[in-house]
Amino acid sequence: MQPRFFGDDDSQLYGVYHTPRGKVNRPFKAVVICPPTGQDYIRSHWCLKLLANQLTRKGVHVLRFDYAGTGDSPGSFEDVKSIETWQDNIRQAIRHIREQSKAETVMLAGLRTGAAFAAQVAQDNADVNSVVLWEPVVDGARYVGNLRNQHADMLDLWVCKMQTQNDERHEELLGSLFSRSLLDEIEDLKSAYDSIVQPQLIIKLDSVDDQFQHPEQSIQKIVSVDDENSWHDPGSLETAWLRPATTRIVVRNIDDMFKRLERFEALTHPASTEMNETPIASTGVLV
Amino acid sequence: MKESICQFGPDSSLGGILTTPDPGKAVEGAPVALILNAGIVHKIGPFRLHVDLAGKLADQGFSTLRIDLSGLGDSRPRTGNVDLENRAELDVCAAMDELQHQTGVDRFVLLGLCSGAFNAHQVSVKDKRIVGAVFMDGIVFRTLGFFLRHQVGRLFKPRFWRNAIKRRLSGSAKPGSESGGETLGESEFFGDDLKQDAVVADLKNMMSRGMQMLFLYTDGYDDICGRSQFREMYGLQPDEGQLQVEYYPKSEHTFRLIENRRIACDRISRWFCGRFGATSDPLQPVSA
Repeated sequence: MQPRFFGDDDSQLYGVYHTPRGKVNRPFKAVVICPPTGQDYIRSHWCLKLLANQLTRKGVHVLRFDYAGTGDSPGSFEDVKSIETWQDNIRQAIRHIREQSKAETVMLAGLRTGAAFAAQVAQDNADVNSVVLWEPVVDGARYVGNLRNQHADMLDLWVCKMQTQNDERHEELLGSLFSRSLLDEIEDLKSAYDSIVQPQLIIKLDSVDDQFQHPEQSIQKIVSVDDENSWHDPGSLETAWLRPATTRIVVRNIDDMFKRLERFEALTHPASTEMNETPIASTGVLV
Repeated sequence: MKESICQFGPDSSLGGILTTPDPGKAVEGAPVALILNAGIVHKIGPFRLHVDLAGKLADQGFSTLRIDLSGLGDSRPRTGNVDLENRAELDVCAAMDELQHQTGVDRFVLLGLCSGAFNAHQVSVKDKRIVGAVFMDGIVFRTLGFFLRHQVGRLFKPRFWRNAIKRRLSGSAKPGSESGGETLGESEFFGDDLKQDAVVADLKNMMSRGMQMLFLYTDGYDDICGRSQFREMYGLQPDEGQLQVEYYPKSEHTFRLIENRRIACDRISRWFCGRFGATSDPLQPVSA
C-alpha cells in the first residue's frame, strides 16, 4: 500500500496505490476503484481495501482514491457543485494509474454511486477496457429519496426534537452537506449501463428488482448475490459494510474478465479502432 | 493549510495525514495534535470529524497528524507478537518519534473519540511528551447519579417512550439504547478489568505533570448522563483551566449532525488556543 496525493497542484486527490504481488508480465492489468459517496463511503472503506488487496494477489495494479471533498482528499463536501467534479477525479485516477503501472487501459470498479459515475466516465473513454458495477445506483431519484427518508428516520428517533437547517443552496443528509446543484444532478442520475460499449460485470442483490439488459448481451455478465440490503437501514448507518464472501466472488470474476480481455487483446489500445466500433462486443468476451 | 503523507513505524508501514497551517499562521513552538482512530473508522473519523478538526486547528495555527493505527485504514497490520493493547501505544509512539525526527517538535496533544480516547489515555499515562489530551466519550463509569438521571429520569420523558415504541414497531428496537440502535457503551470497547481507582490515579498523575485535558461527552454515549457525572466518577472538580469538561445533551456519540460537529470542533479549537496558543498560559484558566 502506497498512500499518496496525486494530480495537479490545484486538484490534488488522495489515493492508495497497491502494487501487484509477484512477477507480472505485459500487458499489465490495472483497476481503479471508484468508491461510493456520503456515509456509504465510510461504511465500505474496509471492504474496498480488502478488494484491492485481493486483486494484487491476482497480479493486478490497483488504485483506491477519494473524490474531492470526501475522505482524505482536500476540499469540503459542500463545495462540490457537480457530479462532473467526481467524474473528472475518476479520469485523473485513470491517468495516474496508467502512468504508475504502465498499463495501457484500465478497468473501473465502482460501488453504488461510484458505479454510476464509473459507467458515465467509461462511455467516452478509450482508456477504460471494462467496468465492474457493484450494487450500482440505477435511479438517482430513488437513491436520494432513500437518503432523505433515512435522514428523517434518524432525526425522528433523536433523543430530543431535532431538525437540520436546509436552505436553497444546501441540504444536510446523513451528516453530509450537499450543495443543491449536486443533489439535483444525483437525483437526475439515470442508469447508463446499457449504453457503454465496454464489457461490464454487474454484482446485484437478489432482493433488489433492478433490471439490467444490455443490447449486446455477450459483453454483460450479471452475478446475483443474496447479501443483505442495508444501505437504507437507519440502524446500519454506522455499521461497516463487510462482504468478504462476495468480495471473493468479485475478485474471481474480475480475474476471469481480465483473462478474457487479454485473450481478445482488449487490454491494449487497438492501433486504429474507435471505442464505438470496439471489436469486443461481438466476441462473447464475458459469456 | 497544507496536507501531506506522513509514514512511520516498522518499514514505514503505518501512515497518516499531516495538516500544517499556512507558514504565516503557525503558532511558534506549539505542540502537534495527533488524532487517533475511533473504532475501526479510518483516519477521516466518523462523518469526517477528524478532517474537520484538523482543518479547524490549522486555521488557528496548529499542526495535526491524523493517523491510522496498525491494521486500520491505510496502515498495515503489525507483524510479530504484539498484543492489541500494546499496539496502540507502539503506533502512537512511533508517530511521535517520526514527527520529532522530522520537525524537532517534542510536545504532543492526543485527541480521540471512544476507543481513540481510551488509547489516548493509555498512551498519555506513559509518555511524558504528551502535554495535553482531548478525550471524547472516553472512559466512564456508571454512578448512582447516572442511574437516577438516566435510567430513572428517562422514564419520565415522553420522548423516551415514543422512541422506544417507534423502534419496536419498526423492528429496530434495542433495549437500553435511547438515542439509536448503534450507540456504544464503554463495555463494548474497554476492558472489564479497568478499575475506577486506577483511572483516578492516572488522571491525578497526568495533572501533576501539568497535562492539559478536555473531556467531551455526548448524550449518545450510553454510560454517561450530565456533566456532573465527571465529578461523581473521579472525585475531581472540572474547571476552566487544566481540567475542562463539556457535556452535549443533544449530540450523538459520533457527532452525526453538522451542527454538533461544528460545536465540538469550535470547542476543541478554542481549548487548544487557550492552552497552547501564542499568548496562552497553561496554568491560568481560559474563558470559554
